[in-house]
Amino acid sequence: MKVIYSLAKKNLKQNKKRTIATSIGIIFSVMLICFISTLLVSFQSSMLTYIKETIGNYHIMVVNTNAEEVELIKNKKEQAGIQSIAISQTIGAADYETKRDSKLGIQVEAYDDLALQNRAIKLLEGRLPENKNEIVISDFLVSNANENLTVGTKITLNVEKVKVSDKYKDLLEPDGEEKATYTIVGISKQTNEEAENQRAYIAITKLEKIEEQRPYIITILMNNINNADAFGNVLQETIGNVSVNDSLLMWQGAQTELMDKKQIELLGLAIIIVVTCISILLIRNSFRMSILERKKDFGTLASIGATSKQIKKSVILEGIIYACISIPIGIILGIGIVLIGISGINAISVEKGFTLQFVFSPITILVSVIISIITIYISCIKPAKDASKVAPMEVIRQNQEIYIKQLKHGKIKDNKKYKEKNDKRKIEESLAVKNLKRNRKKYLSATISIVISIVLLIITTSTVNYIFQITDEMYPNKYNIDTSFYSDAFDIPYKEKIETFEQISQLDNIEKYSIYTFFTGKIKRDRNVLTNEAYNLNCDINISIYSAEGTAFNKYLEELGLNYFDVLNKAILVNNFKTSYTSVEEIQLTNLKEGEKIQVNIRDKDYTFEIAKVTDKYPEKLLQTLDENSSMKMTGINAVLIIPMEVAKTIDVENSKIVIDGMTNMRINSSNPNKLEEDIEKYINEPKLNIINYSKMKEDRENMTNLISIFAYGLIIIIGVIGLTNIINTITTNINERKGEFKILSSIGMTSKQLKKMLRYESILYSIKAVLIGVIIGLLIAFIMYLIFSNSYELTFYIPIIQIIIACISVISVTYMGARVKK
Amino acid sequence: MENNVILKCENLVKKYGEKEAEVYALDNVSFSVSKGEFVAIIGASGSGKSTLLHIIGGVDKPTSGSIIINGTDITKLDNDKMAIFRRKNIGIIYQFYNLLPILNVKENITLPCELDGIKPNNEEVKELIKTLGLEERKTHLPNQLSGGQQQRVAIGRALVNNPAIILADEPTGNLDSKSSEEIIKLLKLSNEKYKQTILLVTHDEKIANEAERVIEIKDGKIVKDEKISNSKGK
Repeated sequence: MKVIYSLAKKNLKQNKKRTIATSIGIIFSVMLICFISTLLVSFQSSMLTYIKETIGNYHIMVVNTNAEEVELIKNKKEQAGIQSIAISQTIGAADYETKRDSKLGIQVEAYDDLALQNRAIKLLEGRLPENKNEIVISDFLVSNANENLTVGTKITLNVEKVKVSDKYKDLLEPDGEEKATYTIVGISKQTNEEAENQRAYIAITKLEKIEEQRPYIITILMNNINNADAFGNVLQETIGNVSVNDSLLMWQGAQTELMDKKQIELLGLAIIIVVTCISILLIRNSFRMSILERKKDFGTLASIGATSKQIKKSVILEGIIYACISIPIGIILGIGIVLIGISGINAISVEKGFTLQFVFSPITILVSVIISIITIYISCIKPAKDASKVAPMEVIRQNQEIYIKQLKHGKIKDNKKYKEKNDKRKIEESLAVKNLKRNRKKYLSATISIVISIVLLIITTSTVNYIFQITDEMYPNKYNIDTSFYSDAFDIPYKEKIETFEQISQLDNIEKYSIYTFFTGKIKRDRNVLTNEAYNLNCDINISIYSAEGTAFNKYLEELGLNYFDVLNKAILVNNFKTSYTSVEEIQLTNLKEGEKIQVNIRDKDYTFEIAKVTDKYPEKLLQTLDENSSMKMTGINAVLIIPMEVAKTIDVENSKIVIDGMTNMRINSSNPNKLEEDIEKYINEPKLNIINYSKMKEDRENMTNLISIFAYGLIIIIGVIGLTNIINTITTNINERKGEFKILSSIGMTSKQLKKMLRYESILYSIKAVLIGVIIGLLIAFIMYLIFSNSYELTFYIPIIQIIIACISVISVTYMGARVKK
Repeated sequence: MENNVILKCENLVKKYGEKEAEVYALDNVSFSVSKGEFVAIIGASGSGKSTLLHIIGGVDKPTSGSIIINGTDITKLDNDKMAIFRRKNIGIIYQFYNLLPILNVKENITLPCELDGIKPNNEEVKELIKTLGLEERKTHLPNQLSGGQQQRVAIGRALVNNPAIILADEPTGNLDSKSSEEIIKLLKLSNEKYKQTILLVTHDEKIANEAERVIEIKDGKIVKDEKISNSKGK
């Protein structure tokens, strides 16, 4: 055993070049496998933390339920496999005046220990409540309160208690009033419950004693996550008001319909498989070469009495030595890259509050080690078997002649062109070509690694390019901030919304802006007003009323030859329209002239506008606001009336349930969108205002794409390096093996110059061949990808010429340099 | 004399090819060698002498016939059993030395012991290296040695396990005359000192005459088998 070990060790030491090349290959592949699996585990764990912090650590939530139903669920605990049930109760609400009109008061919720722990309370300051006189409030309440609320502040509330109605389950009834003084012990980030609550802030206290009449919210954690969905459905049918925390279930590994996790895992698996395959190619090639070279030694060993088992062991031992050296280094490097990568991702984190945390998972490391060991084992088992089969006779006979498969004679004889070509070639070239043809198998694995590297390179660069193209197309380029109100903002009066926008327009860093609002109205069927054609349509005529302010509106006025004062308190009528009845023809709407009045009915109220101008010019650019080059065209199905914002403010659409009425938004082209976004949040402070910062989104997306491409290119470089080590291995071994052949060639008069030429020619020929195959396959796949992408996006086909040239040069130069032979 | 027989070949046939292409490398060869004998097998190129040696060494199989070494019929052993038998009972010396290039002189010599899992007796090995005249070169690698020295290492490797028989295949074929003389001297020395049975294949009659007994093979048949009286060694 000792001698076998020392044989293996000595052999590795003697062939330093190959040993190092192989080790680097193995280290890189172990590194990649470890990197990918650790990143996957870290990502999964980070997602879990993120979900637990934002949504909560529960599988099923039942809201507004009563004591009876809670008892029912508790009874099912064993049967359904419930791990734990956390309970909170709504105590009641108290009036509390703040700067915010929409929030009328504070709702007091009492959480039991488990709920406090699991229900996504992210404390910014202080601690959780420990008795029913302590509360935690949100930072949102702190910033909106009229008084100074901090940890330690006592706040007295007149709590109107609630109870579940006896008749209707979903109905809450008042249950007396109680004056209570609470001490603020903690300040948390705004919870989902508060954000979703239209009318009240939420204060969380400790649930000391359950009061059966109060409404319950329970959250359930299941033992078997795969049962959660089914049990949730059962509860929904029997009790109702059930929601299932799908994202937590997905990231915990339950079978759900959500695919994100699976997609990420599949991608990781695919990369691991590619890396493993390439590594097997490399290691196997290296072993095969090493064994071919030492065939004579194995024969000698056999002839002096080494059994085939001993010889096999010696080769496998080499593999074990490789594993012992390379795997720990690879694992350490892999973890190192994960750490660097994670800090990179966190630096440009896209989603607020999401931080990727590093998770050291021994199981992942173990899996990486096992995959690596299997890779090495698969790679060396066949060469080891080959080595053990070397018969001592082969050594004794000394017949070291090179066995060469005979070329098919017919092929050469029949092919005149080949012959002519062959005649024209110089001797070095023709020898090189013949060598390549006859040693095809030896070059196979090197060729495959070049092909795979180049294919991956082309696919990745194309993908990255397409993602950038799509990103460019995805975001508007004429404006970078889009603000609007959330659809649930109907508690904010329409007039206030416009005024909010007008306040925003006063902020700094705005180059262009446009506020725009939209209503639908009707014109009465009146012969005095309508043209004959319009009247004959025999129905009320719909009219769209747009209102605008800002750069685009001013431009529209300019086009019509008007100025702001011309339209003050007046309207512009676009008199042409298409109706759904006369789809082709544009017809004239009214006979009205400038200075006359038009009566429009908006939401059952009549409004009269004085017409400042009658035109047939559709305000396309006004509708697109700042995006002048948009391909979207205003179709003009309805007649259009354009009114200035001042006039629009008088229209009463308060509490309109029709979302489209009074739908307002504001688009801004800002010179410093991030600063502007900050300012809006700071000065306007309106939680129902939805600010979309396209510039930031684009930036984030580009950063993300860049990060992904760094990883992708890193991956390619590593795979490329593994491929190149494979090439070097093949070439050096090939040269070593053919030393005898070279001696014969030089003995019959080939100069060393000619010899070098032959070798160079050989290596360039086969690398060019491999590169060509790789480029063709890569471009083909890239083209297919282009076809798929271009179904949904407008793209131009991209050929990564520079990358291809770099790849070609590096492959050819490596093979060229590798093909140097010592005298 | 019978129980002193260490090698017995009976009706050895080695046939290549089929039907018209049939060639007999060995044609019904029978002979036996006693313990301590120094036998030379001579014959022209292609006479079958090397084939005979390879079959005796167990690295080649006969078409028919039996070879009994130390009471074991080696034609009945499978490859692995043969390998184990070989490292215990047969020492082989080749024309081209066949040393392992990555092992030094001492390691090459003790390799058969190591393969057998036996710790070589240091004193014995030292003595052997001294006898071979390689004391100074103990730690050298094969490529740092001359041809003669390399062949001496090969002889040491063949001797280290005290095999029943040593097979030498043209051991001087690749050496100059001075080195050749030394090698033959060494072989004779081991024959006398360790009572080593030696079977030497050569085409050089001068070398063959150093042996006690010469067997001549021609076209796969033994044509002459005689003891040499004027042997210098005796």
